[in-house]
Amino acid sequence: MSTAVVLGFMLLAMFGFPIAFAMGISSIVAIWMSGIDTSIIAQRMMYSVNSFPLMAIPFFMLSGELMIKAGIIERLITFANALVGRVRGGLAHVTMMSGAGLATVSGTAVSDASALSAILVPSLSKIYDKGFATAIVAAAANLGPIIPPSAAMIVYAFMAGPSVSVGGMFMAGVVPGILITIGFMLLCSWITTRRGWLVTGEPFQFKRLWIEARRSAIVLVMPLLIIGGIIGGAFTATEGSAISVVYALLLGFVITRTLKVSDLPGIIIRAAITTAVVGALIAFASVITYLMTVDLMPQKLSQLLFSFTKDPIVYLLLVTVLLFVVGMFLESNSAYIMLVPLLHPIAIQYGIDPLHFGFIFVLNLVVGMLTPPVGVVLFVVCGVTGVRMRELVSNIWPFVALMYGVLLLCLFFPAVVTTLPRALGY
Amino acid sequence: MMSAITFSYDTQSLTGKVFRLMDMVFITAVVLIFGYMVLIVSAQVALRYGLNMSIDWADETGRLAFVWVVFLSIPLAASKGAHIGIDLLVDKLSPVMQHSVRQVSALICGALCLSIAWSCIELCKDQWDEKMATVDISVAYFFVAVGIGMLYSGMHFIRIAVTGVPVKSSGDAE
Repeated sequence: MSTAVVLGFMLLAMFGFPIAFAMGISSIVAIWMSGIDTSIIAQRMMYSVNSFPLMAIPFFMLSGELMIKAGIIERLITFANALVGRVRGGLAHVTMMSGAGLATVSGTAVSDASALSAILVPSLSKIYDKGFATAIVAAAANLGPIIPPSAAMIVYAFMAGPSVSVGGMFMAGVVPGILITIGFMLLCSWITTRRGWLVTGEPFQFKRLWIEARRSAIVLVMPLLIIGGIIGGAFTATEGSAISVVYALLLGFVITRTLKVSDLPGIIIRAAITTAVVGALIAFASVITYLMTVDLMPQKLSQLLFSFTKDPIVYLLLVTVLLFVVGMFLESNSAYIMLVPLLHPIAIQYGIDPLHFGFIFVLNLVVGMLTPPVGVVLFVVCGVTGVRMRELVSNIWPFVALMYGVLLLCLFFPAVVTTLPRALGY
Repeated sequence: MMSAITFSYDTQSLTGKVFRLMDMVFITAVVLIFGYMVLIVSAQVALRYGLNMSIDWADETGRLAFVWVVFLSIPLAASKGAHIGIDLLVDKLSPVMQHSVRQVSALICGALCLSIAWSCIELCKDQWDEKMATVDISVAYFFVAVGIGMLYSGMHFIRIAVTGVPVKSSGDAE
């Protein structure tokens, strides 16, 4: 039955059916043909979404949007400019630091890509060619789901079950996130030097840095407060995300005063619709997961894999290849929701650390957001800036290669991922 | 205040006006329930550290609100074409075939949603007398959200099948 459901789903998905509803249609046909009561679908859908931890997704999305509307990017940019604006590739470094800073308050790459593109590409295009300017922004935006908080990690932790905590996943992303940010900056220095682009920006001054640091403190303190509170056990990830919304509202209405009450419905509805897209995927996927469980699909798959290899590294490499292919054609949330319930339990049977596997899984799909043909971040950047996809894609490969380098580093040296969360008790 | 909200269908026809009105009701409900979610979860933390007390029903009503937000927003996402699909193969077809495939797709999705909405009626009847653990509210209200969301999603899909597919905007969903 499971095989027929999966094949039916794939056929419908290939014909452009919305993925969530393709899962629902193939499931309802299988359930009807098996003689199971079809009300199981509504029950599974409701119970899968009835989750306190999942509420963190709309809250982090909302706080990210509110913070952008509150004008934090301008503050981050001026701070980063005071810090690294004068070195070679200065504005590229400013973009990377702004992307990393934005990633600490926003959990998604798409909203970051949209905001960074609109604000930074016009300035970047004056110094670099448009393809490189947009590639820098796309790469910086892709830090969003790696550096905590991360909506992708919340979805992963939810789908993986009790063996993975949201806080643990967040901490697993810190060291690789810093490595990728530094790697991107070094890459920008190398490319700008090689292409002979001029040094721009004002000379470094401690006084200016101090002034900008004070001005940006209200933004820089927020991730310490929220993530620190989650790690310290002061509140759960969901509570932390709700506090971040309140913080963003205070920032926008009281400190920067750029937020208006009339902005709120549009921002809330955007966050709600994005949540509904993820929610629909989770709800319909739970029906497929139920059918697969009834059919002992995870056990059959694990037997098949164990007959092929008993080496956890080979399993991780196989998953990486699978996600590379899947990431080229499937949107990342759909991949988490369909594949985590199948592949995560097998990883545990292989003796792989759940946080290690979780982070490798997330990073694979995050890189997929930068690779054509379904690189959602590329579409957003091109859509906002009007730059042709070909120009962007030809400049994005060095950044993709660097992310795969860090991915392989994390794959072969799990301590890069797991040391920090384990040291903090996860 | 709702001026920033846009609709991806003709709002001048009678059908369009009806859907616009219903969308506005759903949008208002989502904004209010979302606001409640933020308020109750953050108030829980504030009370825990400020007054050393907690609200027993915060978790349960927060989850109920979340289920309502998700299922009321699913039709809004459907109306904007925000639900994720793979268009690679369909885009290769002729415009006439593309239109036909998308109409059939919307019609089948609509039928699925309406059948789920129908099954929610029985589930609500079965569970109407069962109360939540911390508040005197029927647990059936969880299924009311699923039923209403699926009913309205079905209506939007059928409208799309009849009037045409909305143009997707990038960044609607990640």
